[in-house]
Amino acid sequence: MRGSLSDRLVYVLLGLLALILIGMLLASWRVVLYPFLLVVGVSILFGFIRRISDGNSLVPALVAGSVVVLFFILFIWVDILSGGEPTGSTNYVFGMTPAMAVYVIGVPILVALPSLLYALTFTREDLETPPAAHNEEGGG
Amino acid sequence: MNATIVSIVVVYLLATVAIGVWATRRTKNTADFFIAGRSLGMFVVAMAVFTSIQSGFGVLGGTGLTFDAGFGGFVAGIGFAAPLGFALAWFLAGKRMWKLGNLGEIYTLGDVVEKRYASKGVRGWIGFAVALGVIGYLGVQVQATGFVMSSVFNISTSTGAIIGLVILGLYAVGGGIIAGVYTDLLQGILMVGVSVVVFFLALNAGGGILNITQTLQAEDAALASPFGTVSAFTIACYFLLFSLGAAGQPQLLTKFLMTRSTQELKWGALVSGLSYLITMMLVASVGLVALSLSFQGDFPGLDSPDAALPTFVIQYTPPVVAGLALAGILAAIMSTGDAFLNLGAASLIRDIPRAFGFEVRNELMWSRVSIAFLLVLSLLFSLYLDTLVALLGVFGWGTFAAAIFPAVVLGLAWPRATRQGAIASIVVSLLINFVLEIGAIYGFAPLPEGIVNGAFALVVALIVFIVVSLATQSTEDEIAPEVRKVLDG
Repeated sequence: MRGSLSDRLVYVLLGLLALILIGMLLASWRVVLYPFLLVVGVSILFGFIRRISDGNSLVPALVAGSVVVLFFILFIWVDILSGGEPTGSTNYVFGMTPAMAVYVIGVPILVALPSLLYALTFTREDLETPPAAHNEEGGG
Repeated sequence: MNATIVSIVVVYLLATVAIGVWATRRTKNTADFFIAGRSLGMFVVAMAVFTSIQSGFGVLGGTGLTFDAGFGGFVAGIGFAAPLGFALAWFLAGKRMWKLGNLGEIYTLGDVVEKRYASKGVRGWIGFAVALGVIGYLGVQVQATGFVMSSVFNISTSTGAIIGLVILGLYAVGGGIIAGVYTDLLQGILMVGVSVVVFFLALNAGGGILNITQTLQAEDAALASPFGTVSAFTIACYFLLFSLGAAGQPQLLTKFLMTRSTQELKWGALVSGLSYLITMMLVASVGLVALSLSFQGDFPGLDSPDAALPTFVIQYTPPVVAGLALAGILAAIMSTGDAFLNLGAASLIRDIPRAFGFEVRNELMWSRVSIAFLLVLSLLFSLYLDTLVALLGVFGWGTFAAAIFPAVVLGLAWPRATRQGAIASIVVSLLINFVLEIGAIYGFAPLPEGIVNGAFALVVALIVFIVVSLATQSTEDEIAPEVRKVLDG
């Protein structure tokens, strides 16, 4: 069961990587960036394999899904703002052009979000201590 | 140079030596030397991860690239991607690496992959890839050390590099990774504190955010955009390479082996990520403000964009802040340098010999000797073989990312990964990086303009790893039961 779940994630990853490779060869930033955001979601799910295999897939789905959806919204928003009048705008948000403001404020929050979710979803089952101080004898 | 600035830098350097002396007394065996006896708590590990990733390239080079190309020069792609990479490393590899560390004397990435794949071949290839990257990284750190030391003490870059390396040697040779992580702790706190203070001083010097934006906009509208003068395609490649790639950096992954318990992993990624983001405030603000001031004729001409940060702190901040900032820059360089010295010793003394069935007796002593050897070698390279340093310098981030992420990080999360897949991905990653990066120096650029070679190598290496593993499934049964349990997460 666990093997098959990691296999399925790897097959999805392989498809996304193939798409990214095509995007790189075509020099298309959208075909690189958007599949990559899905790779982020798949990577997060790899961290939850044991929990999903134990029948608890709601939290992993929410964590990976929320991160991916929010990243998509943010980058599409920046894409739209940059598509019109990317740099010559006379409107300013916190002293920055709108696209810059969305990027500068939004991206740091989103890149920190998965780390926050990692801590918040850390459960008692994740806690372990070393079985014995096998490293005491060293090798030196 | 102002006496206050010099005094602060001297005090910082003496503090690192003092930590080295203390750590040398605590280093009793190989486990202490390479993984700090698995004794580290969350905050120490988090700061060590942050400081070993945030190098001289990130602080000096990042500010220079921002000064050169705007926000997209460094922060939009590289600077914002690394903290995401910390999270991915924790999700993918954190607990798995830690649990694998319970299965015997697992001190190095070579130990990890030999246990995972039951293969000395994979150990040897990982050791080789790490050794290549370490020598390249060290050469660059030596040159950066010389650059900063010469700015502070008004000495030649060669003398500056020698003094810097002697101090690095004083704590890295004796104290091993214990000295490394505790100097990292000091260096990390210094870097975060300095970044916050310099950020506000920079905004003030630039006349506020709106004034900075309008000045940049008037000169070149692209400079007021999130990507600066860098293409969105390059930013997308950077984002991929510096997030997934962060999870493939050996100086990050080995920290999981040093952690006391899984409890200590809980908040580590967030602390590392936020610390890194705070230093991005410094890089972005100083880079853009210096650029804005230069357009207004208020910033001195620079020989190199890399001089933007030291020039700014000396010219636009009080001596105390400038001293702390220059110490912080040195901290960024030295914290990365000590991490790579330790990784290099692990490769030379443990991973590569064991790949050939040879175990070094008295590993602790020879590891210390090898660190001294690496220091001398990197110094000689940087002083006399500048071209070689430039060539080896390409074996940096991209090589580690492409060689290590598939075989180590994905390999720990996917039980059907095979040793053949691991070796194939490492070989392919080294070849692609070598051909593209060295080729670029001589005008060979077969890929689309704007592509980041390391990102391309990482994607190809991952595909090779998966496809070859799927094609060589007969070895799956060789995974030991206790290792299989680790791979389940």
